[in-house]
Amino acid sequence: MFKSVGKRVKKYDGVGLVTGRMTYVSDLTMPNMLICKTLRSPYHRAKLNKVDVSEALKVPGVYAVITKDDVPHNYFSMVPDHHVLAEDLIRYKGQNIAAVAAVSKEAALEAISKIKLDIEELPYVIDPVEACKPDAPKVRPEGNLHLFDGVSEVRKIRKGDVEKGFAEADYIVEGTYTTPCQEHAPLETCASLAYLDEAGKLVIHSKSQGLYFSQGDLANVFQLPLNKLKFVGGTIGGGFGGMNSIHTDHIAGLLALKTGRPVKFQLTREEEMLYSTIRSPWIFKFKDGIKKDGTITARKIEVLHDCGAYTELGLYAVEKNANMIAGAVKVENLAIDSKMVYTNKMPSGSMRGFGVNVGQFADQVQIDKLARAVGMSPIEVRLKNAFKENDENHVGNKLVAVSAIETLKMVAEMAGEEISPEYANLSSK
Amino acid sequence: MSEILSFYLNGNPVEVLVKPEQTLLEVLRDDLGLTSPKCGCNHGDCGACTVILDGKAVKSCLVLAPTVKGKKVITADGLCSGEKLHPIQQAFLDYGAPQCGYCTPGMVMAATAFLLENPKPTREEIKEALSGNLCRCAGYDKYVEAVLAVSNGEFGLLPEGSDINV
Amino acid sequence: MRGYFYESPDSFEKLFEVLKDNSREIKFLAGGSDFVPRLNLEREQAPKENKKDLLIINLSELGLNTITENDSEVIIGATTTFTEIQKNDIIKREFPVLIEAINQIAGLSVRNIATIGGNIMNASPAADSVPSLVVLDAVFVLRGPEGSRNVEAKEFFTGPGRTVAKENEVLTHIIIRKNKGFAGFNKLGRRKAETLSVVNAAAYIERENNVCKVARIAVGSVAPTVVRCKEVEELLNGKELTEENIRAASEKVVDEISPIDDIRASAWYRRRVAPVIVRRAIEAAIVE
Repeated sequence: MFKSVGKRVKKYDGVGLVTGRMTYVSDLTMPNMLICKTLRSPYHRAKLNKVDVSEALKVPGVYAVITKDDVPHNYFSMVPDHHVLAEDLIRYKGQNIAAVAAVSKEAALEAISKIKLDIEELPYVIDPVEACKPDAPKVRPEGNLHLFDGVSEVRKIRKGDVEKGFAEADYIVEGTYTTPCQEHAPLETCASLAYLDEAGKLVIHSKSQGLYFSQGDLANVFQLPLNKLKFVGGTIGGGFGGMNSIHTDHIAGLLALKTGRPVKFQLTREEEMLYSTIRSPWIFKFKDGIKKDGTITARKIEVLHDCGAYTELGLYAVEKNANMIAGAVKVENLAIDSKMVYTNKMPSGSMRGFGVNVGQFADQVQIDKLARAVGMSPIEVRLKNAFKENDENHVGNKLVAVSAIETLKMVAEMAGEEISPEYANLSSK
Repeated sequence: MSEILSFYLNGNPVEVLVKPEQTLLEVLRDDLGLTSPKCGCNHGDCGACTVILDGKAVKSCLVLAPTVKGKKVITADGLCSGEKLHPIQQAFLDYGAPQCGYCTPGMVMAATAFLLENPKPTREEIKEALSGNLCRCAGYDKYVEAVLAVSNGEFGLLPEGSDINV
Repeated sequence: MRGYFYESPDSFEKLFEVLKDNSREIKFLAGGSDFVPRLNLEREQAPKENKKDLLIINLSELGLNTITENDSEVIIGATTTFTEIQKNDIIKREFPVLIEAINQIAGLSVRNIATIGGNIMNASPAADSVPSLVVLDAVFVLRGPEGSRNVEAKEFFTGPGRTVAKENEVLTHIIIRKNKGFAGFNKLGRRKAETLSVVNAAAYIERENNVCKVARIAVGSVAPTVVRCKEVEELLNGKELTEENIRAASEKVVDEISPIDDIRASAWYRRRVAPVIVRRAIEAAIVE
C-alpha cells in the first residue's frame, strides 16, 4: 500500500555523497577567484576610533579592503540591528571590522596584518545576570535589556490569578534551571562564493539553510533590487540552525560588487567555533503550586535569555520559548515573565528547537520535582494534568489532534512503568 | 620555494607544483581540484579529509605534501569505477548512513583501509577504527552497521591488490 | 609572511650539512601529526612580523623506521610509526605495555603516520608513550654533528615542549632493556578514543611470591613533564602486592605532582583521579 513508509529508502542524492562527487559550497571555485579574510575585534567591547587600510591596500595581490563606510546599508538580520562591519562601538570579540579580498589566502592575511586600528578597550559584560544590573557596561547604547514592542522590558503572559492558585495549593515547589551556550559545529564551515554574472547580476552561492530568511536582508545590505540578486543554495555540510544566520554572504557579496571578481569567503574551524552564532544561554525560574492529588494550581515562570551582542534570532527564540515554556500541562493560573538581555558575546542564533527544547528541559525536570513533592509517579503527575482535545493552550489557542495522554502511556509502557487503573483509562479525547 | 611533486593519485601518475608548507589536502582540493576529501577542521580532529596513503588511512590535512613524493594516494571518488560503487560505498548508501554527507568520503576511506587489514572485525573494533571520523549529524550507528554488513559479505568481496593499492 | 623551506636528507652527512645554516628556524618532521596542525593554524592567522623563515627537515628518509633486537635489548628507530610498533612481533613479545599504550593514542588514521620519536620529541606532558618508556628505563639516542649520546628517558624532559636535546641533535633510536618484570599502562581521557590524556600512568613491577621487588611508576599530564613517582615506588618495594597496599601506595602520587587547570580538566580533578589511574596501571602490571 505504501511505497516508502516502513521501508528503507535510498537518499536521492546518496550516490554523490558516498562517492564524494557531491559539490558543497566550500568545494566551489571559479577562475580569477579572490579569497576573503576579515579583521576581527580582539576585544569583547571597545571604542573603534579609526580604521586605516592604506598599508593593506599596498600588499601585492590585494583587490579591495572594505570597512563600515563601504557598506551601503550596514544593518542586517531578522531584527536588523546587526552591523555587517563594526561601527564605533565594538560589541563582541571577533566582530568583523574590515574585510580583504586578495588573490590568495596568504595575500589576504598579509593585508589583514597591515590594517591599523585606533581602538580603545572598554569594560565588558558577559554574564547575563550582571548585564541586567543598571550599572553594567552598556552592550548597546540604548541599554542592555530588550524592550518588547519598544516599550516593555518584560514579555508577559497572564492567565487566571497565580496568587489565588498558590493559595489553593498544598505545596509550593521552586526550581532554577540554566542551559549553557552551544555551538552547532557543522562539519563544513560557513562558506559563500559571490560573483557578478554576465548581466551584472550579483550571484551568491550560499551555505544558508534559510534562503528566504536572508535574501531580502542581503538585498537591503547591498541596496540592490531583488531582481539584481540571485541567491543560490545547495547541498550543505550540516546546518543545525546555525546557517539561518548570515555569516559570510554579506561580506562576500560586498567584495564581489567592489572588485567585479568572484570572491570566496569561508570561515576557518576556529572562526566557526569562536565567532559564529550559537545556542545562547538561558536561565529559568519556576514557582509552582500543586495539590496533594497532583493538580497543578499555578505556575509562575521567569525566563532570562542571554542574547549576546545583537538580536539576530534571539527574539524569535524568546517568543517561541514563552509560548511553550509552561509545558504540555493544563494550568488555570499562569504568569510568564520573559526578558532578553544583551551581553558582549557572539549573537544568539537558532539551533535545533529555537528556544523550545531548552524550556522543555527545565519544565520536565520541574514536573519531576512536583511528582516527588506530592509522592506521585512522574508519569501519573503528567497524565493528571495533561492537555486534552479542545483545551486552550497557554496563550488561548484551541488545541486539536491532542495526543499527550496516549504518548505518555506509550512512554510508560516502553519504560516499564506501571500506571494505576485510575490513570490507565484516561484518553485525550 | 615551490617544487614539483610526483605521486600516484587513484592509479594515475600526477605532477603538481607544491609549496613546502602545503598539506596533501590543500594540494588535492586547491591545486588538483579534487574535492572528495573535505576540510572540516584542518587540524586532524574531524577525519573528513581521510584518504588512503600507501594502503593506510591517513588524515590528509596532517600530511605535508612534499612527503607524498612517489607514494600512492586513493580518494573516495577513486574507489568506484563509473556507475559501479565500491562495496563500502554501496553499503553506506543502502544503510542510509550519510545525512549531510560531508563526513562520508572520509568514512568511506577509513572503513575501506580498515577492512583490508581486518576483514572480520567486531562491532567494537569498527567503532574504534572510525573513532577519528566525526559525524555531526550523529549517523554513527548506521556507519557501523554498514561496515559490519560489508564484513559479513552482504555486499560482495572487497576489491584488493591492484584495485586499491595501485 | 615568513618563507617556508623543505629538505629531506637521505643521510646524516646531508642532514648536518643542512643544519649548518642557522639563519632559519629549524623544525624536524617525523610523522607530522602534531607539527602540521600547528603549521596549518599559523597559516590561517594574520602573519606576525619578524618571524624567521622556517626550514622543515623531513627525517623519514634516514632509515630510522626499524625495530631490531639483541640478547639484552630492543632498539626502536625514531621514525617508526605507532601502527608499525603495534604490529611488530618483537614488541608484542617483549613489551606488550607499549602496545597497550599505543592502542589508546589518538585513532587509527593518526597512528598510521604518528611516530614514537615524534611523540617523545614533542615533549608534551600528556604524551601517552612516555610513561611506559620511563618505567621500562628506556634510553634515548641523540645524534648531532659531533656524534651520538645516550640519555635516560627519566632525565630527558626538562619542561612542556622542552628536552635536553640540542637544536642540532636528532633523536635516532629508543633502546629498551629486556626485563624480568611486567609493565602496565592506564589512561583517562575525555573520550574513549582520539583524545589527549587527562591523566596517564605506567607501572613496571618485578615480584617474587607476590612481594614487590622492583617498582617503577610514572605518571603523565599532571606536571610540566612526566613524573617518576618515587614515594609510590618506595611504599611498594618489599611489600606484598595486596589490593590494600597498592591502594595505599597509589595515594602517595598526590604528593609528587603539580597539575594545572587546562581545557581537558581542572587541577582539582586531576589530583583526585591520579591515584586511581596509578592504581589501575599497577594492577595492569601484575595481571599476567
